[in-house]
Amino acid sequence: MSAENQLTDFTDRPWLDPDARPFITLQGISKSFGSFKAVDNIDLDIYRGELFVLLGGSGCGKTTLLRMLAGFETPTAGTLSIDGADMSSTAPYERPVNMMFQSYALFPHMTVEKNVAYGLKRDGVKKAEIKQRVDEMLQMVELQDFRKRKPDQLSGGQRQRVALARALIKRPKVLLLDEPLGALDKRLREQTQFELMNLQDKLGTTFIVVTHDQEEAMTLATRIAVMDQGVFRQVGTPAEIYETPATRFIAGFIGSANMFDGSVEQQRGNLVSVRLNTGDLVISVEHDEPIANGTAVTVAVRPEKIRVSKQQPEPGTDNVMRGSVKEMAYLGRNSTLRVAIEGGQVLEVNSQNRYRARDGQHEFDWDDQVTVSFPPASAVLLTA
Amino acid sequence: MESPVPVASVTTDATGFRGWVSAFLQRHWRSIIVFIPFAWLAVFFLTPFFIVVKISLAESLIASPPFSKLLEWGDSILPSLNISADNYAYLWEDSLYVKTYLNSLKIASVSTLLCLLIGYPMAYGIIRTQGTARYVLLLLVMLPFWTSFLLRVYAWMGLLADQGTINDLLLWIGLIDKPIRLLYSELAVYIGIVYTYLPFMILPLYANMEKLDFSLNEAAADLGARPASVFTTVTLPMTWPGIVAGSLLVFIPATGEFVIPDLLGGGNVLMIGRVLSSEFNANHDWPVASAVAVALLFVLLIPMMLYHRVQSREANS
Repeated sequence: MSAENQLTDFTDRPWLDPDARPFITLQGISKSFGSFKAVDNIDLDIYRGELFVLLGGSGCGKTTLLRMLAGFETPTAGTLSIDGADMSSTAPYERPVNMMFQSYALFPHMTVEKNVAYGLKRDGVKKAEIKQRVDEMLQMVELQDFRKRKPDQLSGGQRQRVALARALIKRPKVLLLDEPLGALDKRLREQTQFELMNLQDKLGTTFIVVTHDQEEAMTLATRIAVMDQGVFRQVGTPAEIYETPATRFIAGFIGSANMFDGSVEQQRGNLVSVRLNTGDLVISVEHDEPIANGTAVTVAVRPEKIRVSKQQPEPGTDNVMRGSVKEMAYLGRNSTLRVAIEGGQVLEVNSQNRYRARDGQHEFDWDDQVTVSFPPASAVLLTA
Repeated sequence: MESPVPVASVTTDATGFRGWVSAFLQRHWRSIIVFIPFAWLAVFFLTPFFIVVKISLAESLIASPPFSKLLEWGDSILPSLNISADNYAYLWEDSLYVKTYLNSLKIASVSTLLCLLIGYPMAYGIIRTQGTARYVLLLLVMLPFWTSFLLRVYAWMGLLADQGTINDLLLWIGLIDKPIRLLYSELAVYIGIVYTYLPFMILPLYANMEKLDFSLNEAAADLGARPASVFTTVTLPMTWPGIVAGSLLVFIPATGEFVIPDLLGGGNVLMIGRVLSSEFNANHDWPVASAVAVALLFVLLIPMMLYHRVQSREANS
């Protein structure tokens, strides 16, 4: 690590450091296929050692962006630089970047060993050094006993590790990973997530991951860029994106959120009262910026931040609503309830199952009359 | 293993011959299905082949049929066996035949190589074409099959002749001032064979390349391989089975080709198909003609076995 970071606490959050030099810079990057704009005027700085995740649904442009970083697509407009060098028109085979493909793209006619050695061989590295580095790499991904196997003699998880080893052996400045865990089953995926994080931590290589899986993004990322229709909707740490979504789209895309539409009635300090469109309910929510009365807004609350109870709440509790349980899904650790409140809106609420359910008796059941409440600090006021 | 064929109900109530037949079919249908191709090969390939082998071991006679009998019934009880390897010895001793075999192999090899050099980029180009255009191109490759092969060779005679289209065109442009010899030359034979057999190279290559995964090319480029290196380390090894299949489909029939060297090569190009034909028709020497054919088969057996090995290896992987 460089000495300049020793005095500050920006080491793990270089994007907050005004003096930090970005490692990868995209300026006004666009890519059109005919009249379709896959990527639309994107600016982005990524710092050395980050594990940056591009998150979005299919067709949002995340893979196109990754392929432009690898050099397989040429941007229609904009510039792209890696470690200070302009890469806009550099061929893939000359970039200090390696990619792990979604399909892994292992060479089927080569053994594991030959697959991993491929990149070094192309660079004309000496035989003895290739052997040593391949050995090291296979050791790291725990495939030393499979070196003579062909890809079709490996399991999905093993193939994924061969692909990773092959992409890392040239010690790239940046590793691009296209849906790295997409082809694995759930258990293996969770285990591999942590392996990938440990590996990244150990090597210090900058990782850029493309995924459609928000849970995966939350687990892996130092920062996430949420992409939609070729643009970034929000860029931030997983916590920033989850706890302070910038728009209704983000709030709905990452996790689930209950949204109340209404208009601002008044603002007192950092407390805003919002009158809901559906009826007489007034919700109070914390919001630091000044906002004009009458502004149309949305209040978003995460299901796990809503308290649900069969008892009457203590007097003075904020944002209390009465309702009845319409649906219940028992998930073991917790239950997801759908509570219909006055005015007809149905809220999704998570309730921890603190007591053992016996004889099929749950804490909450269908048609139970309940009250739900949440403190003003748990809700987010959205204007877009 | 009991068969699930509903014929079973017939067996129970029908008796006599019909009952016996259906019971037989039901019990042995697997063997019957396997038997059919074997019977076909035995009747239409093995039998004629053994007849040819038999004739090749006989002596030429001025008679009808023009060769000696295999078994001679003399005065003794057992017939005497008339076998002679003289015809094969003759093929080996007369340098004409050895030369002709070698020339046929040379012409077939060079034609195969030319077909590969032309056909490989064509097949690759067709694969990299998207949508309907790909199928139009593929159709164009197969289109010549819709016209008679003989007709197309005659058309080439018209193109290559001294007063043919090509010479006329070159004279008109002024590139030459008297017709050049195109027809009845080795060049004409090469043109004819490459033209005729090109689809047999392109189609197996196409079938093989259709399975290519182009993300492998990207992976190779990503790992530092330049385009030429991507080709030699990824594309070429992946398309090797297609290259072998296409090459054999061209090489084997081209070696024994008769019509093209006869019509386009005239008397100037020695190929074994023409020698065989003249032994048979002009010389009326059936035993030597048969020996030529049998020897050709053994010459071609080597690449055929090679083909088989590659095919079974591909089937295993």
